[in-house]
Amino acid sequence: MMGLNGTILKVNLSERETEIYECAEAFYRTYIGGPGIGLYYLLKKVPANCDPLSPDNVLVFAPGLLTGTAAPCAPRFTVCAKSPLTNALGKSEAGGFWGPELKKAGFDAVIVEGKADSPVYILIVDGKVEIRDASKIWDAETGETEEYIFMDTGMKNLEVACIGPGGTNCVRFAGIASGLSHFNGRNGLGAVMGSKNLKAIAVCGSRRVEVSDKEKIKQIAQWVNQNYRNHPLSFALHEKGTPIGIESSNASGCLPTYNWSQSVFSGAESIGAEALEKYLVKRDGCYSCPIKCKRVVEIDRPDLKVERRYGGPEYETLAALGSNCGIRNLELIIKANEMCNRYTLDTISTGMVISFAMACYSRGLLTKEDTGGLELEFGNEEVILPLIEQIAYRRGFGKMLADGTRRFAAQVGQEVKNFLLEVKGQEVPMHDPRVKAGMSLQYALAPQGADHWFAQHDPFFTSRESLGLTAVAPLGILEPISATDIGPDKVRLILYTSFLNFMYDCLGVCVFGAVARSLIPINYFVELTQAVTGWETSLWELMKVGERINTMARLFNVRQGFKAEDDKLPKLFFQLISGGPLDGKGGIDEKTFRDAVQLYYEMAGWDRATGIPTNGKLLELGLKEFCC
Amino acid sequence: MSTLVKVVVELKSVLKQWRSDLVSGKSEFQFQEGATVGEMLRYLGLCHGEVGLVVVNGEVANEDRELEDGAKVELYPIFSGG
Repeated sequence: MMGLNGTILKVNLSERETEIYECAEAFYRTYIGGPGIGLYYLLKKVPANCDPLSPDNVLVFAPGLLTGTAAPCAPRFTVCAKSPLTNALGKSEAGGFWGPELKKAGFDAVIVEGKADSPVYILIVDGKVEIRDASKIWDAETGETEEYIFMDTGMKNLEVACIGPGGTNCVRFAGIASGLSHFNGRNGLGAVMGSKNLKAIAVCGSRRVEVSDKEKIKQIAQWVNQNYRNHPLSFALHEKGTPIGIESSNASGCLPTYNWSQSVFSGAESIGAEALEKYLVKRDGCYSCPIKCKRVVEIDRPDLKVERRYGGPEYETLAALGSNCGIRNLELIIKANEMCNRYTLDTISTGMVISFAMACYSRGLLTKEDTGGLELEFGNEEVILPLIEQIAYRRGFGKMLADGTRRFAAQVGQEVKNFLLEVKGQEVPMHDPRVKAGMSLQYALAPQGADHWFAQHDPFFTSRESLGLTAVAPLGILEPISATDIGPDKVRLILYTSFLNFMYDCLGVCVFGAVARSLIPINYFVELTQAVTGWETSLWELMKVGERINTMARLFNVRQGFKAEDDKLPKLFFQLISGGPLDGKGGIDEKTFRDAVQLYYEMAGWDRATGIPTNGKLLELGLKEFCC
Repeated sequence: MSTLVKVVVELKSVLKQWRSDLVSGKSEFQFQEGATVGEMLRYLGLCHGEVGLVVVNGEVANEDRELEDGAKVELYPIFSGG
């Protein structure tokens, strides 16, 4: 099979046994890769009502179909399991180099079952698999973990996906680091590794991923190399990275500030992209991508050290740990980001759980006695780093935050509902649905809880010249739609682009390389899929894959007990924006939102009232084996 | 005879690199009375998706917004958070 190994590795940690599944082309053509392969095995293997931190949970690492080839901007792999943060589908993507390396090591995915009786790491080298002792590094941060594995194996060319103390202590929003600076950040999948006594998966491969039409791939890769500096978004991402969003979100009055109670932050300029330049030592990127959107920062002073090997803060981090907590000290945010990365804590959830505690403190719902003496005023620079440490090690007051905002809020009381910002238990990312109304549907409908990458973002479709609108014509989206609209046209846009995004995840494509936001046209991915696999495929077939995986994700959540009423939005987003240029505007109408959610169900072939996929839709998508 | 309006346009961040001829990033332009934000962007050659946000006198503006004499316009580049 071209582009694929045809083999998936299963590791049962309880039995310390490995097994290799040989998969047919029809399997790959149906589920493709990434979350498609992940969901197939989760639906097969994860029992209903499974405790996510029990040996019954199943963890799948799956690169995309194009990952590991020379196809441009396709470096990603997905990690899937039942999430300990949400109890729903856990799904998180990362770029970097780990996914391509796994493909070169001979496997299209790794499935991890059971629980080891002592700490271990998995070593995969050119098709050979070992389960090795990790007891000496169980409590180690990611940097020391990687160094130890290099030393223990005598191999420095390994790609290591691992967890720090956040993961080993089962913090419910712990992520997974690979290459120390790439993260499957969201949904607490690092805690699932921790619960299995699995410290790391280290991979190395020397095989070439064979493709059907090398010249075609080379031609498209060259086109991307020649054009990424001419496209507004890929150029901006290369030059300034995602931090460029801090200043513009602030200017437009939608920068989450003081746990979202305000939308403009007076310290925005001091934490934005321009200020970050002072600490920038390098632009970094991922396998097969010339854009290099990642910032690498360093501080080397006697009073403050930040190591460059842990990367640098993204927009989400600068907002979540910065304006959202009232912090205007960029060096502090850079250090906080580095600590989260060493400990493998998701920076969005970490910032949001701290800002929520600050909001409770400011209302007198928490006191210094509750917090172990920490004065949790917004903007207090003294508390951020100690709290991150406490969360990662489940110590002191941080222990209460380590289970996420929803569980912590339940201990504080009912008064917090107006400023509790999570969906299905996952803290909202840094995009305001009152300004980008489609985000309300993304937060409510993403199977993994509040997520900003379930579909495409509203501002890219507001005029005929908009980048997004001109790019998605092949999907049949032809008319501009206002960013604050939440009517049927917006629902259709969210539906189609949610299929598109699932398709990208299955292919291993990064949003920053592909339309609707960025450079590479949709049809190029059809050509790339053909060139990699030799399949006579089409945009229709690939979009159907996206739709199939979206419905499989829905089915997984239904089986885990989720209902239509879980597809909701935090109360705050039904209220008007406070302060800034949009003061008094923007509250989402609750009934319109509910109608839009139900319309999405209906358009997706799910029951309008319950949100459960109909048997007809499951059959149409070729999911007969998953029919009830 | 038609009246002209003067506006000061400030280019933020990477937009300065698209128009490197506007050295300081802040320049004064004259347009016909009634000119809109959209027409201004086309005149500046920044109508291909480069601009993600237009702020006129501190308010978020869409492309139909007419420019008044003395307006201060800030243009922010398109961005994508992640």
